Amino acid sequence: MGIKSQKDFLSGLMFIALGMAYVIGASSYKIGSASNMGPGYFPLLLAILLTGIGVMVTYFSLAGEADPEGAITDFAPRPLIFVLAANLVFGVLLGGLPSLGLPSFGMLVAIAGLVFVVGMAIRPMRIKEMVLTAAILAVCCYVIFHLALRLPVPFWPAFL
Amino acid sequence: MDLISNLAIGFETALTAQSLFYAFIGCFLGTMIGVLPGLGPVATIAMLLPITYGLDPVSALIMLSGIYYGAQYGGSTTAILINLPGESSSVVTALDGYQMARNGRAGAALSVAALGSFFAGCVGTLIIAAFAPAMTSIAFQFGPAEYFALMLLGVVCAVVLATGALLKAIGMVIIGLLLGLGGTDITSGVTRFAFGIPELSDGINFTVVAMGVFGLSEVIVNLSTPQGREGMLVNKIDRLYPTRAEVRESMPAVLRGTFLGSILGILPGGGALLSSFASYSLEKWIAKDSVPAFGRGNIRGVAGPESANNAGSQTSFIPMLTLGIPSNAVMALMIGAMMIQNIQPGPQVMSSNPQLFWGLIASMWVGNLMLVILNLPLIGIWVRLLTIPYRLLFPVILLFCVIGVYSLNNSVFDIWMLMIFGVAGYVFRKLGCECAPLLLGLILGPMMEEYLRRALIISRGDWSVFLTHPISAGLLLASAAMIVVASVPFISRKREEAFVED
Repeated sequence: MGIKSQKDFLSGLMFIALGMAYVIGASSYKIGSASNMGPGYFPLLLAILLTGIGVMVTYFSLAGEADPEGAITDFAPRPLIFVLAANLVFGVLLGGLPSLGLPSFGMLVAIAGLVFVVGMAIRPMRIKEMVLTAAILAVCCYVIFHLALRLPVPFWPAFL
Repeated sequence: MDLISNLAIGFETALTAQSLFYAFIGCFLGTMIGVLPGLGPVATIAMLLPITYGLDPVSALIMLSGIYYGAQYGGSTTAILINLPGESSSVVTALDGYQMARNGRAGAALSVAALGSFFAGCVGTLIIAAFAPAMTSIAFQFGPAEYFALMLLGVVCAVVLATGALLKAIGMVIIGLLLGLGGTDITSGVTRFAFGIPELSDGINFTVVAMGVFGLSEVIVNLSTPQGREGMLVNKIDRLYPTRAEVRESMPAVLRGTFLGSILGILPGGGALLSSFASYSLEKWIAKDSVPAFGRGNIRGVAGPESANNAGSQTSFIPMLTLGIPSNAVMALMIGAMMIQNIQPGPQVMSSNPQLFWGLIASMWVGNLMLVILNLPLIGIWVRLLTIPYRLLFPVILLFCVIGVYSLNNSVFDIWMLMIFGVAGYVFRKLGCECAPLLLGLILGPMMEEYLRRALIISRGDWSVFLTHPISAGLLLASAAMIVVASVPFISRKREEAFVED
């Protein structure tokens, strides 16, 4: 036996892990019986099922025929990291971090932050293009969300 | 005639300036995202859900459904011109459509696709108007056991028709169901799976999950493929109209496609994707010896599937409107939109909100007409869109996702959740697990638990209630049959072939 399909093997493990986690989670609630289902009954049922599915997927990934498409390809850490970082930057700039005493910088600054960080996901970086994109997006968002839809979002930095 | 008076109510609603405006916006946006590869209708509708808060329910649903069938139209444009299906259901269109474009018949392919879709859309609308009331009256006789069995069938269909491996799709549905159970349990009032975080006591927000696994992870995936980053080369369009011979060849294909699509669309889990594949196989089988061969630019291979996917996407509204059960991820989002508007989806919608129900149906026809107008004369504009490089587009998509989730509750917490589900979506994709079943499970989770609970309370814990009620037994039997059929090796191999298709 060897791993015939990386994708299936890892999916199986993921299902088992999630299933087990939910089994533990659901067991902490009242289970009840079929005629009087507690809050834990249905989740427990599903979690056991999920774990079972996980076991089967893992088994077939080891026992089945070799799968030419089973290898995990094109894993791209760079876009993943920068897209997430852009989210993080946007959230922090928009909401501030009260625990660290960081004030909210407002949506316009947050938009610029998001565009610059996510722009780094692509090489070569194009500074001019990003400045322009950020400026256009900021103006559009201001018009759409503030002037037209009147969303109650802080647009300017809180300390101004 | 009931049908006519009902449609009259519908058109009264659909032809107001406001409805027309939102139908137009929906069709326009839908075409745009359909044309742009790498941004599907699910992601777009998810992104626009928060905006619909401020609209009245009729306008909101009209706009969202416009996006859905607009994307169908737009997707075929990209498929024909650059061999890149902008949308999963136009995968088949690319086979012959792109070859036609290379033979200098791009215009004919585009116009046959648009006119075929329009015809199918008209028929689909009529079918909904004619059958929805009947379905509704059946639905009123459903008890909790029947509802549970029906939802199970819906889940099973979604799983069987998912593109990847069967077991993995089942796993994804279950994860979705489990995620859907988070939050306060209605019956006991216990808060489940919230980890003491107050924001989670209302459950995980559906929109956030949809945007994360579809929007955010799609951006990541597209950024990691080199061809996703730059603009495309586009085949030139000559004359827009098909020749007489081409019309003669495509007419029967359009009729067959419409018929097939209308039926398959009603089935839970069906809809546009399955319809277009089925229609392509049918055309290939009927017109085996036609010239040019299929895959070399045969106009039937464009006309049939394009009509079928549009008919299917229309009739897939039937289970959603009459039973309140989503048949695919887009319909799950539509139900989400209804809930946002405080409308409980189900058979009572037709009597309690006739304006909404019939207005939506009438607006589908109006929308289809708009799409023909938008697509044929304005094709040049859409083609231009294709030349926008992705590196300019993705910051916009990302920003829309982030602002969208933030505006749900004006809380940064939803942005963190978006990140989590973005990563999860990316991992699922890399592992070859499809996300659409997860979304379906997410919507159905609480409903299934509720109906299961009620059915078992009534039967005093006796599980045989699902088999002694004839309708429920039939539905369960159908579910079991589908699982068995799908797991037989021969058919599951065929199924993979059907989805891979050359």
